[in-house]
Amino acid sequence: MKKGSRSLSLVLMGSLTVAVGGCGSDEPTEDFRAYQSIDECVKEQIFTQQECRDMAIAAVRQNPQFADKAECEREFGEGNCTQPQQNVQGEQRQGSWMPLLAGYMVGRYLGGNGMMQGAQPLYRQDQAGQQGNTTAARTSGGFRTLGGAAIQTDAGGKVVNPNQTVRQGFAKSAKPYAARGGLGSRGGFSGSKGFGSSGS
Amino acid sequence: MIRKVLTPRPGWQEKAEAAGFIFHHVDGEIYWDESVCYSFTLRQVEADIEDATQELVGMCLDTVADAVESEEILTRLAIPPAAWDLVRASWREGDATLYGRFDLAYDGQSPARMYEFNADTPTSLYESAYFQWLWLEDARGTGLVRKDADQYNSIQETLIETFASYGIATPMHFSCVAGSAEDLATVHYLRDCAEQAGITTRHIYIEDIGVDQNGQFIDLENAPIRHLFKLYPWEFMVRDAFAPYLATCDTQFFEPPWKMLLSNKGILPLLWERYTNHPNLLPAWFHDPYRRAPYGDFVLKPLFSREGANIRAFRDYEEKVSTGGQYGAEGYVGQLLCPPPFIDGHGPVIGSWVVNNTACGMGIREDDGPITGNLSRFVPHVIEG
Repeated sequence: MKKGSRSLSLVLMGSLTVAVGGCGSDEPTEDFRAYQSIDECVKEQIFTQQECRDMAIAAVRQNPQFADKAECEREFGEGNCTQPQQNVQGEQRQGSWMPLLAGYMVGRYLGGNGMMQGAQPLYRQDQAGQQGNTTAARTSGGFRTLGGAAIQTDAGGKVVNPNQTVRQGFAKSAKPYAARGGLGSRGGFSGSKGFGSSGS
Repeated sequence: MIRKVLTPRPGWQEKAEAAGFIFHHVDGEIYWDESVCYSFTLRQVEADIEDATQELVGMCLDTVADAVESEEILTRLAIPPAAWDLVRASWREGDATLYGRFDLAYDGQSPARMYEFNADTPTSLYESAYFQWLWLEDARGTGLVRKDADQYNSIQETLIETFASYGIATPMHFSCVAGSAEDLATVHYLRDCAEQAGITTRHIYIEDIGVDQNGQFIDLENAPIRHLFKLYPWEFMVRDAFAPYLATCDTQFFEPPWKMLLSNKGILPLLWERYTNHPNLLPAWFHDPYRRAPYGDFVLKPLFSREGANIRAFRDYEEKVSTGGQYGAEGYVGQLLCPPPFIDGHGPVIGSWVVNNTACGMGIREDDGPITGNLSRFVPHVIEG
């Protein structure tokens, strides 16, 4: 064909699905949020789906392992430990006991080298778990960090008391945080063809 | 050129979807319309479309070369002063360009005349480069058109060759705004071509592009974006929050910043000034609201606008048609009104594709109103004779 092509094919097109759009994040101010699940994090739309997932994995990786149940419960409270059958992220020792995660905390904060972002595992605040006193009352609704710091959140899940101890807990997982959403603010203009097409 | 009415292939919608053409209907209205086909002779295609387009490319590049050196022209084109260095450096360094689409009025006999050049974010690429070729192969096979019918379309091959010529060894990102099925499909299609050229590609939505502490653009994994195809206009980029990073970052952009001068309708009066009475141009001027237009039948187009938004058409100085939209703040260009030739009651517009500054194909859109916009239908064409 003089003006045309030889045979044409596509390698990716068959896999096209219309994915949910990215939504961009806020300006880089400090923020600390407690989530009970990845879904909760995604719904709030402060962090991207990818970030919600990555932070959850980073938190789970910090979950400690104990040789026996008693040792774990001494630290985290009676009935708060489990012996998972499967490897979590392939990093579990055979027969280990691990505390049950109540959720995870994501922190975006100003570190020594600029804005950082990291995650920590959260556990149910259980005063009985401290010093092995099983008759002390349990606080409901609050979380504690791996190191035992109490975390209070407001109705929206925002952590209200990120003190120095809490911030230090992010050190293991912290990575430099990057600002996003600085391009694309003008998408969604023009025409009815495929809502928000930027083409002409 | 002859307009033929044909029978659409049975199951064409399923074929389209299987091939990734997810926007064959838009808002319930048909967009890809294979009940129609335009037939051209080889002479018409080569002399009147291909050669004319190639000549227009040369004229545009020569006009850009002068415009980048003139602050007066850059100001007239409403390019923010903060972006002048970006544009100049891009031109002087000869930044590579991928593609663009000229819109031409053509009736099969008179010289084709340029409406505008969609130089930054042209649409209808997938259907022009790929889907209408699939249609041709089927149509030849079933006798819908002559067995030796050809099509002016080597767009995909040229795209792949062009990608291969860039020598890109690190991943290349392809980006569009979220929320548009058509934009996503276009970007996905270009990724496909780049992959076929041996480039490793990644997707990222424009809104998800980040900036690291060194002012470099990064993706969601915080990996550097070294080469970025963006289906997002430069006039928005230079007005967005991350604009200050554009001049200093290491990212290679497609299209490059210098294309801003051509995607701007201000190029039309500049071309007319430089090449007055050229057979492939329409008279054009920078609109002055306090002066009478030089012609009674004219169109006003915003400096920046897309898909027929904010166009006003006048006959005998009386406004007859206007489309709505959100453009116009930067000023208007006037152009002689040249309605598409009505062939059997329909006004086809030729979308003449240029890849790597080389004319290599065309796609035709048909509209039943005077302004080709969002709701025009894409129709295939053949060369028979």
